[in-house]
Amino acid sequence: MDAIFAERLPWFVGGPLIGLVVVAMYAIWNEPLGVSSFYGHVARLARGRKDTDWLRVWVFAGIIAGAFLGTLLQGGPRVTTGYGALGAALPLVLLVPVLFAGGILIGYGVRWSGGCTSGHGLSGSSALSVASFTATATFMATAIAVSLLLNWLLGGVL
Amino acid sequence: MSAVTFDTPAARDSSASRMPLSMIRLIARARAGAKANRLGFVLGLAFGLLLVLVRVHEYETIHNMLMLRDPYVFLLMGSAVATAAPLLWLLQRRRWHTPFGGTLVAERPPVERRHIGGSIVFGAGWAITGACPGPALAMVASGNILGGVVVAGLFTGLLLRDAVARRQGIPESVSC
Repeated sequence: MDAIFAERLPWFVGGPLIGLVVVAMYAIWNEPLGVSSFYGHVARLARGRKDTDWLRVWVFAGIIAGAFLGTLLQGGPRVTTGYGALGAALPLVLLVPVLFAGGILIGYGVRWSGGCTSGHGLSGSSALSVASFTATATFMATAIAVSLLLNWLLGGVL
Repeated sequence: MSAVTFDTPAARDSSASRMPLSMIRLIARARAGAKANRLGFVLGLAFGLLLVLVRVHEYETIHNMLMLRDPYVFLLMGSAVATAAPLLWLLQRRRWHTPFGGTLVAERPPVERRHIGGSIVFGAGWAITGACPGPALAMVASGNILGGVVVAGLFTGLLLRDAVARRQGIPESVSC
């Protein structure tokens, strides 16, 4: 398939559309669009727990399907183990454990703080929740500091 | 729980004192039937599609924001919130009755230490991988095998946190 969306959407198109999806989640189900909670309920389902929230499992599945659809529109999918500047800086034997460890930090952190970029950054902030503003400011500031630090440690290759 | 009805604000308020709001919604949705949950697939579809079209599932997009080289994702998130916040405010003011979850009340919990502690840990992981939970899924769907490594780590970290919380006697959160 030819790539219809070869270029990323302009922010002033993509941002408001994402905002409308956040509003839809609240307006239809009275729930925040928090992807980390979707992971939580998929994990519950995997453990065969009865208190699984199926809405969250369905949205989780929908995200994967939607992302695949978007990939088709961009002319993909292309199976790859490329990982941008980080992939270029680290050999694969090092890259895999680093990404796994990074994933653990993400999972541990979002479960602890009760939200991620979507739950706190988009949904909670849109609901004008001070807790979500605090969480968003904290993970933004931390991520910027750690990125700059990593780049410095790796001699500026990132 | 069968005695609780969710159709009137009074019933909602009286039950809210006994149950967390998220649990009330869970029960309300169970009553609305499986259709209410399945419709979530469509919302996820829209969200996943947008994540890929704005390319936040690519390491470079997030990395260039965090290195302060490209304001694109800041503008993206800012304009998303600027769109959603007034609409949400208006819907709540009008006491919007959601089809599957009672009257719209966007939760605004008090600030706790976990919001800062957890976000520091998450922020570090975000910086290393250039991925957060939603885009990590999109990464896998786009064919990036290493996205699967991040997702596997994410599930591991999540279960690790649950184990630590159990040990500390903190009740597991129903929703994030």
